[in-house]
Amino acid sequence: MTQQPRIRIRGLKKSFGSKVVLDGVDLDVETGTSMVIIGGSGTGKSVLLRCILGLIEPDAGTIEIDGVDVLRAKPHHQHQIRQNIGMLFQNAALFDSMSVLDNVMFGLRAKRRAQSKPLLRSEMQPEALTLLSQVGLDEAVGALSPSELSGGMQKRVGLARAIASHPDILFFDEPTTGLDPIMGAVIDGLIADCVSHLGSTAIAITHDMASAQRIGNRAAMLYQGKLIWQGQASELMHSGNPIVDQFTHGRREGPIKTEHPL
Amino acid sequence: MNIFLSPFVHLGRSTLSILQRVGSITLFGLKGLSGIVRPPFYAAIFGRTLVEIGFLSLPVVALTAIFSGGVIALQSYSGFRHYHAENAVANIVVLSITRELGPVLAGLMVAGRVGAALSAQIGTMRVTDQIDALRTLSTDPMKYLVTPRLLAAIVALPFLVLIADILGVFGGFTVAIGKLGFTPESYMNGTLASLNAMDVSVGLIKAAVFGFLIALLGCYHGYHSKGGAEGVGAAATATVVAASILLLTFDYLLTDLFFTT
Repeated sequence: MTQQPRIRIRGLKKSFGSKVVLDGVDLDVETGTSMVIIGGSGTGKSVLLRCILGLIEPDAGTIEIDGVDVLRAKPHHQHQIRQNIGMLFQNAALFDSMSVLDNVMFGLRAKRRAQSKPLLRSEMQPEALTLLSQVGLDEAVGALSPSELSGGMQKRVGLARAIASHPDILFFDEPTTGLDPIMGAVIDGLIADCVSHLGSTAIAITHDMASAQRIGNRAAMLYQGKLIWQGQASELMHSGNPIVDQFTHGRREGPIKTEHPL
Repeated sequence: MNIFLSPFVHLGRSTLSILQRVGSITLFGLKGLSGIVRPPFYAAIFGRTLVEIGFLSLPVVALTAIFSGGVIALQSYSGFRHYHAENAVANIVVLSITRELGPVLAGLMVAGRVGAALSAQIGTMRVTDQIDALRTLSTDPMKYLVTPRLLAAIVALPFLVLIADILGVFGGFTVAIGKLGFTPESYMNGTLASLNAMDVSVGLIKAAVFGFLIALLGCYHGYHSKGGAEGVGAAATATVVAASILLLTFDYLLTDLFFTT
């Protein structure tokens, strides 16, 4: 008997006005897999993640998590399923009215709040400090506000907040965008460690090939609203698909036409 | 398209667009208010917003009220003295402050100061994905961001208006005594004789409605802002303009409801 995929997407469609962003996406993500989705800017990678998270309502298709069609489930059930998903946003999306420590404690509080088991600040603080140290940040950073942090530090805090509730599924939206190569590698390393430590299923979207190979064990490419290739992340640079090869090697010539050629 | 029909098509589209917006704001407000009776409750955010709206608006509301009271005393005196009706000055000051100027001026000041701030705060959270982050952290943004702000504005505005009423009358008193030659006793007697609990109560009801409208429009425009910093700025401007117009419209409607029937 074949095991049911953790996340199963069929025929997912989403348009904004006349612009078709997702045009029938089919995707299976097996339990414990780190799936990396690559694709050019504006190809709908973030829209796909947001549809799974329920932040955007798709026009058609199904999204199943553990066999439950989340789009047609009752709101309470949808909420329960999505409680188990952690998300690292592209710009970290830290709450700028709170300190770094409060941001991480918000992540800790989230799951407890959903379970109606509120925690006291004094109970959460040691755990939040442990999470900060897990992502390589000093205790003193906890007192700072997000605006006082560098981009890399913000990503680390965002990661600590995302894993605070020990989610079974983790999403990463362009985790290394805007970071220098060394910091990008550090964040990728942290992400890979967190995913393996938690035993989570992960989906990361990126157009950074080095990052894709560091984070993922499976990969897929989104092009013109469809997933045109899926395979092992290690095969990304020699997939045999001309579109994927042009993208991964950053060639100007090839089947992918840029919107604004020079 | 027929050149003669074009204006009607345009009018129809505009009307539909306005009705759609009104419906959207109404549903947003109802959803926000429903959070008052559905847990979880965010008391800390309510308290912080109460201080932001109420306490921090006190200086601007107080100064506006004091000077408005003084101006009414001066203007009414200069008009009434031609008819030897100077004694009506205290009456006019207390009536205009408690019925109209207290709630309306406090409302307009809060719309400018707080409406724009609420819109900018929530708008910035929207364009930097913080609202989406709330949802991924099992937190309903409507309950977390909108409900406490609506409730805080509904509670804070009546207190501000009560203070504006007192200071407005005090402003009129100061000018009448210091500049117009009234004695404190005669002016206070005139004020107390004209002071009506119904006027003050209706003013406070107006204030609660204005508070709700200001917070509703601030939250609505912020929540639906898009397009980065420019979108947040546009949302703040739209909030102040819409809140000011709606505030004066509802002032008329409430005055008509309470004072002409």
